[in-house]
Amino acid sequence: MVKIRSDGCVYLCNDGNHLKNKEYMANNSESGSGHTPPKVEHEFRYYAELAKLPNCPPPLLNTERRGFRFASADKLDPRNFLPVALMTPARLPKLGHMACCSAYALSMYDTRENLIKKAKLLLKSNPKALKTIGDHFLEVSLDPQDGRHSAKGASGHFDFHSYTSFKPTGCVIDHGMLLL
Amino acid sequence: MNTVQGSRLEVRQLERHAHICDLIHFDGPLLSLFSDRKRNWLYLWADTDGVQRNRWILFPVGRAELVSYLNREVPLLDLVTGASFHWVLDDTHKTSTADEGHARRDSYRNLIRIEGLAQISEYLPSKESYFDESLTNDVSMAMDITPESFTVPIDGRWFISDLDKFSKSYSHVYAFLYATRPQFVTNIGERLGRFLRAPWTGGYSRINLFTALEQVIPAVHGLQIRSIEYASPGDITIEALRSVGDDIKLLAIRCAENSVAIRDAVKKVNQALSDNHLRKRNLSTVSDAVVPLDAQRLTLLKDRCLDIAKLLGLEAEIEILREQSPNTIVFSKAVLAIVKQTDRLVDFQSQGLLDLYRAPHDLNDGSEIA
Repeated sequence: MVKIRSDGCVYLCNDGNHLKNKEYMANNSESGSGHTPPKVEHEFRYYAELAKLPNCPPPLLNTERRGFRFASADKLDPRNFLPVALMTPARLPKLGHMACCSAYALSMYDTRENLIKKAKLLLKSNPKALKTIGDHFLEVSLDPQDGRHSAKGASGHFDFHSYTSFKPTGCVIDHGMLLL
Repeated sequence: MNTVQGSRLEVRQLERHAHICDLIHFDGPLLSLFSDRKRNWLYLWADTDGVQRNRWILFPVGRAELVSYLNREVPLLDLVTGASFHWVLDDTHKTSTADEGHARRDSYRNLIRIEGLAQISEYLPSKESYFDESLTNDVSMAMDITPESFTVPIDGRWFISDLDKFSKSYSHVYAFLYATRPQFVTNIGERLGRFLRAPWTGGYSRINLFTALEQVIPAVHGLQIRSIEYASPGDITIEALRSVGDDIKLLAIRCAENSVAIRDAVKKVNQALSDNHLRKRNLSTVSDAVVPLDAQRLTLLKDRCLDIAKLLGLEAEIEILREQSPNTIVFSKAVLAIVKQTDRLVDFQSQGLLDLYRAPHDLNDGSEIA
């Protein structure tokens, strides 16, 4: 059974039924939170994994937008579009570290400047941070048919949950080294 | 990655480290706070070979130093350089193709104690490495983080076994109150829900719940005894989150003053569970829709538990417990467990071993932390 909380978040009741993708979308569109009515034929790429996590995915938007993301030097490296939950080697200090919903999303920023700002902030504490997250950037153009994204935060960050139909290489506009 | 020289340690030592929260997180943790229930540990991600290995620097950090870092008074660099020792953890995940073409994942970890910082100089944070709340979702700096000293007034003649019983019940109630309130670590509520969905079959589960809750308390807020003044009257001076300590006192007083009404409600809950043979039945994974109890009895259980919550002044905390519980039966058992632990503190009061009505000492060093 799926319920909508007063804040619009979707949660699972504890009767062993997992949230179905289409149910999520249908309920989400009825929540009156201003989201674009979804097309139910789309399915999230990591639907099975998302369904195991509570409140996952949270309410998402479905609009066209530009995104900037950390990437490796090889523009076609498949890891550039792999969510962190599936990335190897897993950067988890302890076995059993909690999996979270956003680990199945692709981290993006709204501008290249905000991506660089984030890189500089991380490097203060972790001087080798770019070795694990990538020392290049990718600029992508995201279409409503590609997936859904969270609202951007104060830092310009947003999570992008792709649909199974998403073709990563087709959306790349630019790729280059991060100049810090 | 360079090879690190030092003394090889048993990785088993890390088993008692419980993950508390991430202090820096970007597509996974980059700085994590752990606790071995006595000390805070920081796990600082250091390096990767990009193929199969990640390297972490592990080091203990004192309460005062951690609080200073979180308050942006000192950079992370000071915590690393000021640590009494450092361990390097190389975490390797190797995927190989084994027999019959099935992929097999081999993982192993090496833990090395290093001398000095020369070997890890390339991993040291900068002088500007101050804590930044925007780098984590796990922490809310709007919450109280500084542990303080407060006293628990004692009286009468104590035996060693009294001290043991008292510390267990006090720790359990502290853990419950800590986990059901907004704290600077924001993921505790979710963990409470996970524990309540663990198999729940009787007394063993109750102890598991409290033990698990104690493990999610950051060491910076763990109950540390600063001093025991054993006299009649005397005091146990504890350093922890003072607001929770104050609430334990209020809770025990309310429990004592409303004991008749609480006992009556507890009896009704126990009766409903016993009559339906539910006391030792594990129902931790099912909802109210499928538990073997009709709606009328479920309502009775819920109402009596809410009565208890009101009598104890724990409406908000018990409501969180209700929200996180898979069903009303588990919720009721958890409420009974809280009452039982609080009752044990009340027993100390009625035996004259605690004097909760006595005004606490004014501790001059109230904000001092070690």
